[in-house]
Amino acid sequence: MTGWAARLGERTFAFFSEIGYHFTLAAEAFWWTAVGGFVKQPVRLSLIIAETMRVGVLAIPIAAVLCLAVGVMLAIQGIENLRPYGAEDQVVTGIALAITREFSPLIVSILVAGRSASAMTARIGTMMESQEIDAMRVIGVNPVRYLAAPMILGTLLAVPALTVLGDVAGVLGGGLYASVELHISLGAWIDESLRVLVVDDIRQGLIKSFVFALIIALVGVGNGFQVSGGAEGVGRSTTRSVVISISLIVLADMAFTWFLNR
Amino acid sequence: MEPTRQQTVAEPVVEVKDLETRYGDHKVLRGVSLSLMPGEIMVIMGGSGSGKSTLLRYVLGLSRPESGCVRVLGKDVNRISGRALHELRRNMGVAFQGGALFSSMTVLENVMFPLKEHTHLDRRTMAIMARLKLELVNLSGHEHRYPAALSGGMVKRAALARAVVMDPRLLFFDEPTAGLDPVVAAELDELIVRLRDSMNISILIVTHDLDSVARIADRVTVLDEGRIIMIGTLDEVRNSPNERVQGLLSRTPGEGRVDEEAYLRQLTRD
Repeated sequence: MTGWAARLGERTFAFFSEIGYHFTLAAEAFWWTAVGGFVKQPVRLSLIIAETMRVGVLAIPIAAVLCLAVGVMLAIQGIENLRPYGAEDQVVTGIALAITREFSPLIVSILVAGRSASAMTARIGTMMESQEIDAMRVIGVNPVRYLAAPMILGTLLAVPALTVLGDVAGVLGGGLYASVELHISLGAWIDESLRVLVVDDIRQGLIKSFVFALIIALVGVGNGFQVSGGAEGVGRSTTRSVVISISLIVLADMAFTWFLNR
Repeated sequence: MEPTRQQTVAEPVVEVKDLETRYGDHKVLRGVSLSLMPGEIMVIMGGSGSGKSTLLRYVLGLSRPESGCVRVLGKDVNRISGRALHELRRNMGVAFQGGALFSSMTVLENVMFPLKEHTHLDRRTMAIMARLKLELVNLSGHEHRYPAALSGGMVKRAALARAVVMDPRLLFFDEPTAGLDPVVAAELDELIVRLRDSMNISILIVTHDLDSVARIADRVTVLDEGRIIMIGTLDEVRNSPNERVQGLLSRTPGEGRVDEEAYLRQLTRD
């Protein structure tokens, strides 16, 4: 029997070794991206594009709908809560800032975590279980180069791009509701939004989305390579990577907001 | 003793020395040494849990051993640089137990995969080379099917085609006949022998199928509980006085296999 102290020690060790593992994975993926071409083992552009498609382009409709809905929701809340003060028209600023700084990167990342972190884990995990990863290695193809690097790079491209799209959709959603409720034309709403937004707002959102993308890809890929225990193991790891990536995204978001805005 | 091809003066193409590995606290391989000579078909035989698939993983350099060394084509797979290992792998073909075909690719793309990664041939040439190998394993006409749509025997043959597409000097095959009906299994065995004769490959096969061993093996290594208990020709193995070997051949459970003390401990442990 192991005592609680020993168990705590084991857990702590496991925690740090997992963090270390994910950073090593990231380092290896970027190393292959930078150097692979020179040793005739490039990270294939076609695979990066395929991943960007899978993670980003295919998520465009749902990301746009979600951000639009968030925009409408914020407009409703903002207008209703500012009305007693007669400050309804200030809602433009509120929505423009909230969407670009917070909601768009957060909603998009949570969506991608649910859609793609799970898919990456399931894909790599299944390949681990069917020995496809072993087959790849004995053929002389490094799985980090062939599978992980394109997934990581694709996610890093897709999530910020989706975030920009989410910015537009969110502001538009707010404008749609406001144009009905406050009789502001959509054109005027957009003009006003563009006026109050400064480059820093967009940049803050984009920096966040980059970090979130890295979290999604590393957690998704890392858990995939650590799958063991057959189909059940794949399922367990898939759930794990969604839960962990979403939790890390929300926590990272809090940390970011803390440091960037105070 | 009759002269066979192994007795010509040649360096072994695979050499395993004192290999020891463990899984957790359990020792899987305990000092395994063997060598594969050029042009030879060596079969590693043993019951399940004897460590034979594990041995293959270490020979392939997929895992690092506790101690001991594995030399493939004269190079220690655990000590050479990444690039040298990459070069070495051009000369090794592996067919895994479940085929391990990439499920997202067609059969043809699977067979072309090693060519794509190791050569700079144009697509047409690669496709032609892949089709040649598919023809060799009687799979022409199925090249555009996905692995999920193939039968067990076809998957094994496709995996074999992928393993030999680079014309390797060495072929490793994990359980070539497991899960196949006897006729298909016999065909696959015949195919392996034909490949050896036509391409002059050295082949290391892991199996527990005795019929298969009888058809293809030049030499047999018998592995039992992580130890090699015998290496020899099929006749030598058949005539061995070792009762564990005989137990394996006659498929009877070995007497005294269970250590009673250990068995009781196992049942009562908490």
